[in-house]
Amino acid sequence: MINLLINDQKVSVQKGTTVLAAARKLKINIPTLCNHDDLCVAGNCRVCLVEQKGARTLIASCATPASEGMEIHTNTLKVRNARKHIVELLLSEHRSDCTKCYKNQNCELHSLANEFAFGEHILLDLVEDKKYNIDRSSVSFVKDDSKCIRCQRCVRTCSELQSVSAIAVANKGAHQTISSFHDRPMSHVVCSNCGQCVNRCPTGALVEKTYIDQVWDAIYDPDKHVVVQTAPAVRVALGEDLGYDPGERVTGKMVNALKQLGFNSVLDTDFSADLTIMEEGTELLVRLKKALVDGDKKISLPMFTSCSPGWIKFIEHKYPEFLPNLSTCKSPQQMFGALAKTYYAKKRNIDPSKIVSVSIMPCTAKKFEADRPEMRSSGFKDVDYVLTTRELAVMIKQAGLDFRNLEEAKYDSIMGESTGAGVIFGVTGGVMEAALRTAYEIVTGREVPFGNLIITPVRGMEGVKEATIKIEGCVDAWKCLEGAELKCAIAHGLSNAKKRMKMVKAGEASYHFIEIMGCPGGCIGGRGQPIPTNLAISTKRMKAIYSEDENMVHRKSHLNPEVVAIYKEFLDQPNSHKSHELLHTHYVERDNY
Amino acid sequence: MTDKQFVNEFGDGDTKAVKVGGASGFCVPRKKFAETIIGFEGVPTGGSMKLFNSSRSMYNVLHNYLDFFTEESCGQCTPCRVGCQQLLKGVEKVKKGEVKSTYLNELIKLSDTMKIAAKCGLGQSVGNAFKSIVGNFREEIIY
Repeated sequence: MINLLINDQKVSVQKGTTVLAAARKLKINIPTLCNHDDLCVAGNCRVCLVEQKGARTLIASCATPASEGMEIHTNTLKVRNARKHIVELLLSEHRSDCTKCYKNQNCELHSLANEFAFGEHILLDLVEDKKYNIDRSSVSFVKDDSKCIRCQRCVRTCSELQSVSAIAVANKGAHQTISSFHDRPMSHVVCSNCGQCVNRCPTGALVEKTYIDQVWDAIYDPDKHVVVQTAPAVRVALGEDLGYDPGERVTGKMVNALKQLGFNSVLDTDFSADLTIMEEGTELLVRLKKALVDGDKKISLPMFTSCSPGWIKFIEHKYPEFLPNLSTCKSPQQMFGALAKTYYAKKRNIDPSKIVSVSIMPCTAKKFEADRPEMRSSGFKDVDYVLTTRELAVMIKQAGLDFRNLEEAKYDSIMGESTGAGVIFGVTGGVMEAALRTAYEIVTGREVPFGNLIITPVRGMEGVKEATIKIEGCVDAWKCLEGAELKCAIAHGLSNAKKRMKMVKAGEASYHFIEIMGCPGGCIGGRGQPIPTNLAISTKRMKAIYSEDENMVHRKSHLNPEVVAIYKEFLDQPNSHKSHELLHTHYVERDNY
Repeated sequence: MTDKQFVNEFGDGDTKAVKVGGASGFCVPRKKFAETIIGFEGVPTGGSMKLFNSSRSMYNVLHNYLDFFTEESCGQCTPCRVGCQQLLKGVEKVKKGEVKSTYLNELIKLSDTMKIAAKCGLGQSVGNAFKSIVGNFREEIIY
């Protein structure tokens, strides 16, 4: 242990602890900006400067490890003046159109400026001298360089957490910018649209592209029938933007709020998640049978999940040779969209051209997915608008709803019913767990051999998870798989995905089924989720999802009564011709530069 | 060796100032030549020595250095990246009369912060050049 003094208070910390962490242990607040719990140290904003006795200069507390006998002061005049100067310098380089900014009231630089109570600007405005670029090319987010303070959180996120490196630091000194490859528009570079950078940007330099106004227009258009679907991870995070603690489930209140906002029908993505399991589980079993029993060399194994649009775009760019390994199933959002304008329209007797399909997602990449040209199998754009969890919270505030005191409501019917298996789609390992619950039962006629259906090896926040399930006692139709060992692997966050892909490519791993989610923690850590999102908060959301699962009546996708009904009335059976038409898709090879 | 001995080696006629130690060093005015020792006991050297005669405008000299620092800053840390730009733009505005000459005092405070807050030696030493030129040749910067 290392002993030091901070503001004359003694504290003992482990070796390697930063001065910042030591101060936090004493509940001493040091402002930070470039520092983020999920990312490596940068120490470049200098907002967290503190005074160390005997040192020539001030030190950045986020980047300095505590050492024995250190004497730190966090609140001297020297420190305060330096911090004030630094925040002022940042403001002079930042286009401060705060009241009109999308991040208004939600900006870390704004809060810092508030702390220092600047009466007037002493330093000169530098923004007017520069030609800044506002990049609106991506369907998922907007990159406005004039609001960038070069903290490089986005750059670190993209390379460290996602190993995509779509953005990097270009030029030096006054000309430094956060730029893409050859300064190309973000729509034309290797970017997965995961939006991790958006979630970590402390200012309004990176924000999601918002479609709130278009959705309001649709709601108030008497000719339109607006259906909304909500993703599993939204219900455990929405509360955070509305005054709840992380990890509180607000499912019932959210459904009621959506009804109050004026959506004609409030439905659940969990329903189509259950449907995904039926389709994807069957696809896996068919692939296994063809490869293992019939010896068909053309079948690509391992099969990868295809629910995460960030992951899909990543593999299309980086590993196009593995596209045949991707499950052909659409993501639950797109399955829902395709069915809303076919099955739902038919059942409710509504002209599909009058239906506006909106989805509430924890994700910015879903905006891109909904815009893909392949996603028009209903004859219309399957999902018209994608809103993030944050955007929904904004709409609820705009409507002036007293969210905390809303009654709980239930999802509407036809495509509103779900099971616990659909709910856990929102966390890493969830798709795997849901698929195993159903696939194992199809093959053996028995429940998975884990207590209370909780498949522990696939749960948790570890970057690398594996599970092997031995298939024994098969029913007659699947006797061919008797004794086979199903090897599964799970990765979340694209840098973990890349590690897996390297293993698979090198032939070091022989898996049958790999679940990959583009964001750390799965959709609960998605980048449409409330800010801040970090490991601790994601873990709380994960707990909430699992408790939601355990509170469900049905916890296996094939028991969802509406899923049973849709196969009976409309789709015939999993992987039928009709479901291939509506629920499956194909992928395109994209450039790796 | 003092600055006076040093300039005499070069046949001093009308040397106005000596910049000891390259761009990031200190600028010594003629009136302090005799008392200034070149070395660690006085003004530390490093790299180059620059002599300016009376035909030189110290505003141009300062502008040139600040331009250099603005370009050469790597841009990582705030005090150096933005501080250099502020100092450069600040002296330009003072020269043009667009801000009051007392704005130089604000800039000196800023350069003091850069000295203790920048991440590396480059940003930390901008203040040496800035303060020693503005401090000794203030009227040349303003008028």
